[in-house]
Amino acid sequence: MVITYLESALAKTASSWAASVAGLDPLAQELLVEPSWKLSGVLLGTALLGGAMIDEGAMASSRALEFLDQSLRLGQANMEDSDKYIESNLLITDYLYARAIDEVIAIDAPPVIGYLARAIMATASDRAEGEFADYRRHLLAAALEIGSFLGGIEGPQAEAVAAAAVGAGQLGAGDWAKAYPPGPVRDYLRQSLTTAAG
Amino acid sequence: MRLSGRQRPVSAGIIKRLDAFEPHFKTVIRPALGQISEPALKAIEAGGKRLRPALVMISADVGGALDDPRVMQACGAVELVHLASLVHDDVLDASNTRRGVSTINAEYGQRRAVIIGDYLFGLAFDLLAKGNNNALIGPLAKASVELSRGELRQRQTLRRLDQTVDDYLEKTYAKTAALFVAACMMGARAAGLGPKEEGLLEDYAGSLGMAFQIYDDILDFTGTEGELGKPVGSDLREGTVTLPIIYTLLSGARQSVQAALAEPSAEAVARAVADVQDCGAIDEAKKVARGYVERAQGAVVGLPANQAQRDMISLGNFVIDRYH
Repeated sequence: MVITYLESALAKTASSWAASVAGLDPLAQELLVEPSWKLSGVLLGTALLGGAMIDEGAMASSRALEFLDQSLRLGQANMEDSDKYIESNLLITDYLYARAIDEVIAIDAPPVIGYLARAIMATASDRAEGEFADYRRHLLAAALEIGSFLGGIEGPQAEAVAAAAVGAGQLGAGDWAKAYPPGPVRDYLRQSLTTAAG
Repeated sequence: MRLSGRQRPVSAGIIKRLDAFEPHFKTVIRPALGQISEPALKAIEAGGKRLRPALVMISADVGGALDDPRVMQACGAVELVHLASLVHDDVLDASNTRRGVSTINAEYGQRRAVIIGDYLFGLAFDLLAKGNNNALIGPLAKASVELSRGELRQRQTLRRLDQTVDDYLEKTYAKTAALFVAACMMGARAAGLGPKEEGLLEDYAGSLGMAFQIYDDILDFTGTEGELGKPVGSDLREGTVTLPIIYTLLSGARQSVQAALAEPSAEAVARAVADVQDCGAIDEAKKVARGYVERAQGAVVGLPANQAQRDMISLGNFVIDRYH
């Protein structure tokens, strides 16, 4: 039942994402790829673990995260070919960063903006150090942190999610899920995290 | 040239806070890794007028909130977004100098400059998120979308001769004026001003931003390399069709401009610059810019008659005077 609810929320997120994309500059639209929705799945699933219903705040945050994923993907794809990056994609990545932030203004949740901003900064720091391939771990971390915040997760569970966020991308589902009661959402998240990290 | 330099178009209270802003601004970048912090600090220290922070402060001063801690945060955030856009602009233009100082891309390479611009943008919003004030984040987010959309438009229309004055004004609003508006809205919200004052400040900032950019585009033809920190006619060389160029095209002196946009050799650019200077296009463009300054100064008449209002009027005069 709960997985059906989660999948229905993901479908709604996908359709609201399509509406947002339709409002983008055509040049940006051309460069987008269909999201895998794994980041959204992690965000929404984490919020559900906290017992929250999935509302516009969670869906807007998911859309923001997917915009950020598109932007960082474009950046990464071109970091090894700086001429191509500069010519075709730099302004689009800037535009998508701004759209990602703007997507969550209406939900009045500055911490969500903080998590998105820190994913941009962490990726930039990695790239400055010569690490180009691992931006998704910062997005996964943001998905977990945002889901935890929106789900109102507190105490040891919040610590477990924070630990998972720190180790995101390296956790292979990780031990963090042990902090939660067994159940379909935990299994869903375990699987989503494993595949989203890959 | 900084507002707090020799020429002081704003009151001592604003100058004092602008001076305090500089060390505060540098501290926001310090926690970053060395690979980031060194070039980012260089971008911060490269100077600039700090016009956007000044607008945040003056707008906050309308409501007597100059010393609200959110004002400094807003100043830092708006200037970071501005710097991020300059750093990426220099990458796209492959510029070697800005304000007479070597650019981040010239010193650290194109790739690192792209990364620094990204970091500065993220840092701007992280700074505001930490203040937990959505009312201040909204205007900056909106302006960032406008700014990047304006930059996109500009790149899409490089060297195109079919651009109208309206096309130019629309791009200019997005590229420059929107961030001026964000600065004033952030100051207004820190001060808790009402919708009427916000509306007047929006009109003021939008008009001032338009005038500022138009004069900047004029200066590209009337300034000296020393003043500009880059060669005269750079816009022509880069293919950016600005208001003086549009008026030159409308005046009938098309040939030289067309040639310079198509093939920007030193001779072609020099001929086109001479035509822009001689055909009356500069006067036409100045008329439009002055109209925006008058509109800006007219908007603040509806605000309380205090020091903040005088600063806003004076900033309008500064935008005109710095070209004479």
